[in-house]
Amino acid sequence: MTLNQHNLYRSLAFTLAALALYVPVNLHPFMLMKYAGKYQYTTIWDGIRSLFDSGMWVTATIVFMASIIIPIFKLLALLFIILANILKILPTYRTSLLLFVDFIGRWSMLDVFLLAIMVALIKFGSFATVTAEISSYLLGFVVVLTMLASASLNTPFDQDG
Amino acid sequence: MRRLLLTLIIWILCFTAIVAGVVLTYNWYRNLGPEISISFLDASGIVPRQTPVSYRGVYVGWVQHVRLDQKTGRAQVIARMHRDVEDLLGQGTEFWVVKPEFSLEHSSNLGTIASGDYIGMRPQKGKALSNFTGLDTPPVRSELAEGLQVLLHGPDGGGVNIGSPILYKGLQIGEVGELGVTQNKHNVLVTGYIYKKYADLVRTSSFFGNVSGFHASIHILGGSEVGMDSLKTLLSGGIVMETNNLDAPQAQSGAEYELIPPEAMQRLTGES
Repeated sequence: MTLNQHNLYRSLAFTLAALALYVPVNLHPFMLMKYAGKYQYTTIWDGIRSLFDSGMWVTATIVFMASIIIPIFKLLALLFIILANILKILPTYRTSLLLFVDFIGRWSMLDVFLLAIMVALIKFGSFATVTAEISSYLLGFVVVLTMLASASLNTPFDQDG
Repeated sequence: MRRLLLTLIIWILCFTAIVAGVVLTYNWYRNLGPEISISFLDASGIVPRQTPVSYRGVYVGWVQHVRLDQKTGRAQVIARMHRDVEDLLGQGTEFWVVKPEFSLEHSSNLGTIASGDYIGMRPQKGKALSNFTGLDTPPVRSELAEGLQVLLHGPDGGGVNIGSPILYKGLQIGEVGELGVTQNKHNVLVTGYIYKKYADLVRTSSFFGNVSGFHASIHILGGSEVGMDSLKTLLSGGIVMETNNLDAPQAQSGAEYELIPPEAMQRLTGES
C-alpha cells in the first residue's frame, strides 16, 4: 500500500464517520433554552425556521447554508473525490473541487460559534439560560472529522503536484 | 508498520462513529411519539414549535403547527407527543389551553404570563387516538377533583362564582368548581369541591348556605357563629357550610344538598 493510498483510505474512514454522525446531528436537539420556568429543545432546523418566521431570512439562509448545506456538500464532495481517486476516474476536476471544499469548510463551524456566543451571552440566572445539547457536540465531531478527512487528502495531492 | 497501526486506529474510530450514528438515529426514531391533532375554538397564545403540552407539569409534547381547519372553522393544533404518553391518549383524553387567570376568587397560572400559554392535558388510558377536540374552558383542577364533590341546588345562586370559597367557621374548606342549572331548570346547581383533608367535615346533616352579598355575623340553627367579615366573601360571595351533628355519617362524593338562599340565611341569623 502506498502512502497515497493509505491517506486515501484514511480520508475515506473520516468521511464515512462524519457522514454517519451527520444524520443524528440534524435529528437531535442542538440547544436547550430555559426561560421563566419553561424549557424548549431546539434542533438546528427549528432554529432556522424560527429565524425565517421572524422575518430574518438573510440570517436564516446563512445559518441554513452553514449548518446544513455546506457540511453535507463538503462531505459528499470529499466522498466523490476519494471514490474518483480509488476508481481512477475524472482526474481534472478533483484538485479544484478539493480547493473549493477547503474554502467553504471554514464556514461549517459557524453554528458551534453561534451557540458558544449564545451560551455566554444568555445567562440571566434562573430567568433564561441556553445550554448546548447533544447535537452541538456531534456537529463539533462532524466538523473535526471533515477537517481531518480533507487534511488527509491534502498531503498526497501536494506531493503529486 | 506504524502507519498501518494509525490507519487501523482511524478505521476503528470510523466504525465507532458509524455505530454511534446508527444508535443515535435509531434512538431518535424510537422516542418519536405519535402526532396528534387537537381542534380548539380559540388557539390564541399557542405558538408553533414553542408551546408545550403539559401533564402534571411534565412536558409531554410540543406544538408543531397551528392552522385553521377550513371545514369546521376551528383552530387546529398539531402536536408531536412524547413516546412515553403514547398509551395515555385514549378515548376521553382532554386538552385545554392554560392561560393566566385573574379574579377576586383566585388567580392562577400566573407563571404563564412570563412563559407563555401551554396546553394542559388530562389523559385517559387506551388505544391512542390522533384527533381530539379541545375543551373551551379548563376543567376543574385535578387537586380539586380529588376532593369531595357536593351538588348544591337552590333558588338563588346570586354572587356565587367559579372559585368562590366554601367556608366552615370562617375557614376555607373548599371552592366552587362548576355552575349550572338543575335538570328541571328551576334551580341553580352549584358543584362544590371540598378539599380532601376537610372531606370528613361534610356529613349527611350538613347545611350549605349562600352568604354572598350580606355581611353580618350569622348564626345558623345551633348558634355556632360564623364570622362573615371575610373581605373575600364580602366582595366575591361565598358559601357557608355548617355541620351540627358531627356524628352523622360522612357524605359521599356527589352528595346533594339544598343551597339556602341569602334571604333565608339572613332570616335564620335574625331568629337566633
